[in-house]
Amino acid sequence: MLDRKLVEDIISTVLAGGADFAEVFVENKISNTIIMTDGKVDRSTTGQEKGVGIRGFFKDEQVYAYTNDLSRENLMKVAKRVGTAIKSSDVGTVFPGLKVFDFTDKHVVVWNPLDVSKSEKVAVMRLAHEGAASYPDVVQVMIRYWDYVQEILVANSDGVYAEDTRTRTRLMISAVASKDGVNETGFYGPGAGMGFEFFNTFDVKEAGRKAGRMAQRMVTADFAPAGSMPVVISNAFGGVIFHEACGHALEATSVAKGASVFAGKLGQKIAADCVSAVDDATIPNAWGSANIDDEGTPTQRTLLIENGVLKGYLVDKFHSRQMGMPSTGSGRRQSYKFAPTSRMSNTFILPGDYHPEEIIAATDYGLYAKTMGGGSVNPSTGEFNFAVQEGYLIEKGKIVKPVRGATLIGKGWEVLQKIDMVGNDLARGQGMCGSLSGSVPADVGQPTIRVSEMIVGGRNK
Amino acid sequence: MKLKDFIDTVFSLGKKKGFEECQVHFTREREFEVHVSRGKVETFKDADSFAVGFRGLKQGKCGRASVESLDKESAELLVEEAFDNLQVIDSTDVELFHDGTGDYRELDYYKGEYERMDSSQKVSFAKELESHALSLDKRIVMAPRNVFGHVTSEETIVNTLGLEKEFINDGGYAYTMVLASDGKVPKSGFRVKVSKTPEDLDVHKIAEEAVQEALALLGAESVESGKYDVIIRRDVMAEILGRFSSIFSAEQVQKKMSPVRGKLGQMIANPELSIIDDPFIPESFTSRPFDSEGVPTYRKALVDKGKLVTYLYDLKTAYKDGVKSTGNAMGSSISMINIILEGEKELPFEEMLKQVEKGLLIIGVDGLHSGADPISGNFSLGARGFMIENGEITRPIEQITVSGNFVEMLTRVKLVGSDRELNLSMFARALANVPSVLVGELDIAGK
Repeated sequence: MLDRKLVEDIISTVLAGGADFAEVFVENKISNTIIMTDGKVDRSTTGQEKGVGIRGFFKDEQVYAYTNDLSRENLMKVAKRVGTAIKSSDVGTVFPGLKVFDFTDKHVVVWNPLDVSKSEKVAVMRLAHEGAASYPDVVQVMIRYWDYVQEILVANSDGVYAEDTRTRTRLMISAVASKDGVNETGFYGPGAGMGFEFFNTFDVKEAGRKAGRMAQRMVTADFAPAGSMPVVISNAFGGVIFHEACGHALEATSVAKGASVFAGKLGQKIAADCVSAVDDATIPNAWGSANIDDEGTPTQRTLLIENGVLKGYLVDKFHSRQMGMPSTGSGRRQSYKFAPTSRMSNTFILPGDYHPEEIIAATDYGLYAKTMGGGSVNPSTGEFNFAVQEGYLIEKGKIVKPVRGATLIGKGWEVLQKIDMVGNDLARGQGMCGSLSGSVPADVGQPTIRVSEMIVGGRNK
Repeated sequence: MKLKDFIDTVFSLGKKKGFEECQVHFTREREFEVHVSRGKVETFKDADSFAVGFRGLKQGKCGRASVESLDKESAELLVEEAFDNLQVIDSTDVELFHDGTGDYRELDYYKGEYERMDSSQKVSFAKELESHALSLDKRIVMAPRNVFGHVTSEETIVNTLGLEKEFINDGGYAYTMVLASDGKVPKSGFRVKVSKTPEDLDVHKIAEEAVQEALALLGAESVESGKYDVIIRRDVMAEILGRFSSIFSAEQVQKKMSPVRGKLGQMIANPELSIIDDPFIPESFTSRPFDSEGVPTYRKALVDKGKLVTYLYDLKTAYKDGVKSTGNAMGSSISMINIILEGEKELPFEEMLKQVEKGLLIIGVDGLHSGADPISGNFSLGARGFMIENGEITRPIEQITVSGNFVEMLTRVKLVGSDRELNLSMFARALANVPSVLVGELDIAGK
């Protein structure tokens, strides 16, 4: 992707300026997006992103620059700027030269999406459209198809020289139902670290129906009640609660400087006994998986919480220095335009004892959050919020009616202790996670769980 | 290759391929950002990058592609991929280009003062944010984020119909987030400021406002669920307006995805309220003379004294509705450029406060990206602020949600403040010159 001698010269130049660590990241990515509205393709775009990011560490400070002028002259100029951006007397860092890091590809792609014609992709979208449009009050369906092939090269002054190719494919289905002047939406967005073979792994038309059904149920629903109550959160994308309420606060980005509510709590009880959770970037072909992270470190399965006790953080190279802990292969970035930092990959609560039906049956009154929308968190205070896309009211152990427009809020450290039932139906869902190093693909996941008390932002009677 | 030669190459390849008309949109960004924490440079970003977007027209359809290099190979990729993309389009909507006619406002958009600053001055600015914040009160235990940054963007748009326009714009920003603690529960305070020139960024004021906010929220508690009169502070109103500004996009309306569909010419808000798109605010770094299709921009009311008077159009949606583009094409969507909210009578903030017998002042909301839906207009957001009793602020509030419908809320605005200020509206990628407003009876969930 970039001449190896040039990569070595960049690294040497950054070190010569006074940095004690230097890194080069090269990216070449081709992506395709196709949008179908109302059953007709109205936009199809192909984009190439190509550039280089150069980084230097100066003890506990870091400098990052990027450019897409890949000429030797410009790259050496940028390297010099990075190396001298911070005054340092350190010129003694030895660069051993680069060693190619070889690994076995755990995420084999069968059918490169770049070899698939756009009309075949459109045919898949049509199936999803048919499924979603098959409900009487659905007035609009929008299908977005997205694939990309990202080639990366990471090299650093520790001698790492690693190349990888990440392929991802996703279908995002939105349905709008309209009745008596009310609009409600349904969404389903399955994705994987796979090529076009992804569409042989599930029923695309049924995926469309899922989004359509959600919009149809919600448009006739009453508003969710307001107030504090037990909440049963369904599996798969329901895991966004753990992602927001806990996951972000376990990232070294906020832990290293003590700005997380979970900083300094390793080995301590932070959650109910029934909660165990992991971050696992090694799951073959999962949406948030990779062979190596964006710093060239092999990815791993990291135990975060075991029976309520905090066991680990997600660590990248820069913060590993400050925390005195090895990188967990969690250094991620959206593209060469971002310096990497610690991020989640596929993060989920592990299965517990109960069948989901038992959890509903054991709940006298509360909200059943069947499908979650997105959310966000302030890792310093633990305050999070997320939207319920599809909700139902539970009365006397039974689901009695659909309810719409609910948001759940709380504090991560409180809610983890209020999880009182964990189901046995672990599943994962796909999302895009936004943070300091941009927007990256991430799986969230969990079995059905119950939180004994949460504030539900609905409407008052 | 030089940009001009690249464009010539693309146009000749495009015509050869069979496109009737071709267009190139070149964008270049120079970015600087420094994050300081605990007196150290956490990240120091120094960047320069560009992108080239290509569009080719044939029989009313448009093929698109983009690249990030200016070589022969990229020129070929643009034309080949765009042509391939055009083949799968089966929408009957007609796409078109602008020929460069019309009235383009000349404005001095580029100041260059940020780029002339020494990088050590920029680092010092961020360090001063942190040290000043920490010096103000013992209860400020940390300032996890202290950021100074600026962006310069250049655009050139050229097509085979004769359009040829360029402009350059710049601006900077600074923000800080502080944590206050009374030994029990930490509270955060955040303040961001944007400006065209560094001297308008008052480092001490930013730190002081963030600190005041965090301290004022210490000891906050939830409130009883119920309906409350709510004052939405100007910066929060800027964010909410920005989040819902896409309801005015003709694309959303035509796709049946807007709650104001079919309401043109009708009263949709309090008759004293106007919502205006003004692309020429001198202090705003999102101001611009033309949109991303090269169509000249202009100032217009969307809601004029309560009445919905126009949607926002790009070329395609305007053609479909038989009107002219309003110059609001922004990348791949249609959006406002700078948002202005005006009331017929505007009251000082303190006066507005006095009008509230029992209610809430909301100074921050969370979850705008997930808890606010521009298709239905519904929102349900995490919120914080203060209780207002008998016209006075009495105690801090947290762990509540505020819920309602944006369009309904416009009709329930009771008072508009005179405390307008230029604030960031992240969702609209716009700046908003918006005052605080008092809204009657919003749904609050709490204890």
